[in-house]
Amino acid sequence: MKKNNILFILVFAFLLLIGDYALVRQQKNISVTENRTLQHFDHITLSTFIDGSYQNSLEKALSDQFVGGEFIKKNFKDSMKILHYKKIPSYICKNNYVELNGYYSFNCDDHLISKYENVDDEIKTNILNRLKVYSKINNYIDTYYFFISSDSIYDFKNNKYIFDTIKFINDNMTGDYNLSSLTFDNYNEFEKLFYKTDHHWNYYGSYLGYIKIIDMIYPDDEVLKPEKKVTFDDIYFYGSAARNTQIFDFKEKFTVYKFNYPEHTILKDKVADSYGSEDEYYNGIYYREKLAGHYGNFYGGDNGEVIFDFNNPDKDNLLLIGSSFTNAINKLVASHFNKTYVIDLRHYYQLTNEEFDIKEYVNNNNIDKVLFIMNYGFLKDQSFNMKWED
Amino acid sequence: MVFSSLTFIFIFLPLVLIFYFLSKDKYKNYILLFFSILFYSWGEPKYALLMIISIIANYFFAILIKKYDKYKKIFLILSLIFNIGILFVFKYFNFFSTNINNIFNINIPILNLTLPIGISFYTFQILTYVVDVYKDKVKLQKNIFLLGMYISFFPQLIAGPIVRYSTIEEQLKNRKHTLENFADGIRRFIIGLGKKIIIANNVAIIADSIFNNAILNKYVGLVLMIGALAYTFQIYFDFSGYSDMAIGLGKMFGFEFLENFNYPYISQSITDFWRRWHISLSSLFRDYIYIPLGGNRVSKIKWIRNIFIVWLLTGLWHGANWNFIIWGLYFALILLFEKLIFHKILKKLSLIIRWIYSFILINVGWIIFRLENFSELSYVFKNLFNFKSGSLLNLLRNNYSILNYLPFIIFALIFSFPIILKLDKRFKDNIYYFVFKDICLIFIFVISICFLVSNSYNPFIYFRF
Repeated sequence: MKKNNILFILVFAFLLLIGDYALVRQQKNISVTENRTLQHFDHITLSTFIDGSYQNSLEKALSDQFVGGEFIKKNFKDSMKILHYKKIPSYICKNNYVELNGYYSFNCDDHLISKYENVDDEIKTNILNRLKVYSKINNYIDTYYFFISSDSIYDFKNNKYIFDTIKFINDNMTGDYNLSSLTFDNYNEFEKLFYKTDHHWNYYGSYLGYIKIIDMIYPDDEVLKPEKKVTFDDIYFYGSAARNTQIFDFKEKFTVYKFNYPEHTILKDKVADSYGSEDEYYNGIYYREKLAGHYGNFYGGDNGEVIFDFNNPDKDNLLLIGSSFTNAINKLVASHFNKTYVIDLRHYYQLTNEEFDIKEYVNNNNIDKVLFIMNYGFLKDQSFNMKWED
Repeated sequence: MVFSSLTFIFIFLPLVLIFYFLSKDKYKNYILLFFSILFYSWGEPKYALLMIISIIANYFFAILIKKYDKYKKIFLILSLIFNIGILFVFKYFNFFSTNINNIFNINIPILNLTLPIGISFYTFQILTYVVDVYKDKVKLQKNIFLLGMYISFFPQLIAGPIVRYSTIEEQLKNRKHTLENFADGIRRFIIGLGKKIIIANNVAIIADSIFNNAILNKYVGLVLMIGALAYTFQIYFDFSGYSDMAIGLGKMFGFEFLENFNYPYISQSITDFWRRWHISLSSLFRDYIYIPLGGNRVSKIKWIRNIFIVWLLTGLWHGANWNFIIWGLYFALILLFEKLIFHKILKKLSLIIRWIYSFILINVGWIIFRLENFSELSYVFKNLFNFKSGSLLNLLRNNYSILNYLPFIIFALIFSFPIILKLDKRFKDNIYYFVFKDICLIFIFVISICFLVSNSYNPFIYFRF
């Protein structure tokens, strides 16, 4: 028994040492499978200790930097699951929402979607306040709005919008503006436009959106047509919903439209750079890890400011304000303009240390038109607020 | 900091073990005191000071009680006022003031104070020391650091077991550190960790899915029963898991703590249940409240009164809310019923019937304990036996993944019985059995760590007491 005790203690100590190795080895920065930056071990200060933030960050860092942590996170929870979500019995899911770790499947389908939410008075007030600012912009410059419908405001069971956003905008926004939208009237239409496991529009939905935008702004312009449809056969796209739910039963191949863009240069966050990795993908250079963020990797990520210059001095300059939805069509839209300034308000402050002042920005960059590409999330999320000084 | 965290397992525990075992014997208690204060400060930096003040104050109260025999009662009362006063301010003031405001339509202000972690535990621990000094049951501890170490000792500081000074007095000065104890301490710790991480945390997901949304999703009948069962197991494996970790940690440092749970879900009656559940608390209330009030050696009326007082206080100890009071009184009524009327009938019933009777009553008790909101409580009790169809379907539609966690209820049911204890006795001379058991424990430890690394859902029930 003594030998048994010694061996047991030694094995336990060895396991502790494995965990402690995270404290001494070089810290990892990125998790490719989780598509996020990893927490590092912070230095302790009195204030962070007293307010508890140091303790939280240490626990997070230990989890993120743990030896084999990425492997554990990727495989462990998966292996503990006994359910196959593809095989939900029809008497449960037929014409019903079924909740799956915070997301939903509808009508036994293989999309992971959000369920419609209650649009309460607080949300409506936030949207109203935003529309008041937009109303002022409308009187200042040519403004265009493109609204993308989403699952968060549509009840698929009863086939109706629970919040008619377009009507709300038209009823509460004033001034001279143009509004177009990408909508759907039932689940079948919805699933054609959006990824199975990601909240973004897919290649078809984004292209349709682009066509509608150009039709709104320049009805006589010929839209860029795709050279071909490309499917990357050796990868599956697991989007935000799959990552959040850790459900990988639903998947799809990553498919895009390939375009031949006119010559252009790009300034990304004030630095000459490329945007997205389309060419790399076509040349087979891309992450093949399970949870690689193909949408952002291929089309381009969220930056404070990206400027596309297509060198068309006869054409207008565009200010495009949006979210990650615009990433898929930035170049397409920008190809119809001279310079296109794409702003993501969530990151603009980090880039410039200044709040975005649209009037100043329009004046300083000779902007001729402003386009807002938005969805319900964009409208209600206060991180997309901006100021307007009269 | 909680035991079931990566910070504790991979940083705090190795550090304290290294410093402890590398130091000379005369410094060991001081090392433990330092790390215990650090442990508490980690979760409650501001309230560590409150605990230190409490230690200092009670150190002096005990000295005064010992020194001035003529006035010892006064000093005891002052100590009680001080300790219970602090507990009252942080834990009960808002409850009482809200109720008084509602009844009398006045406006006593509500205090904006968070409840210091473990205050109920360490306050009661301090009180046992002071009262035992008063009764001459224990010697006065003249070394404030040793007293501080006893009160703040991190294994049992924030969630028990409540260790009486009398059980630890000798061990403070004189305890053995053996390889066997150390290894057994690790084993016990791993068992507790597994109970908490693998079983409690996963059945908690079932309980919360059902009870957090019972009214919204109109859950009735079988679904509510599943929720109750899940919570019954959650609270047992959560709390007993923590006690196991505490006892295991104590053992690593040479301390022997008394058992806090004795397979309460095999109880044959509610009387039996309360001899098996949170033993340190129930025995404390018995010895320091029930017996001084006269226990059962008084008239029947007074005895019934004593029962109600003890259980009212037991309920209140668990939380400043009406549901906890109802929970305490619920058990008071059942205990009286058993003792006065039912005990003879119970003896004649078969084991299975007695177990079913007890288990159902225990489950019902936990429903009361779980639901602090009266509308939720009344909804659940109104609909517990409403077997309207569609509720289970509703549950699956609202949380299909819940099916992944149902196997953990089976594990919980199995390990609620003393199977391992019986196996230990059966194979006590078989070395291969113990080697196999150690391999299983290492596996449990590894799985627990995998859960911790991959999962952020790690609530602790008894943390708020």
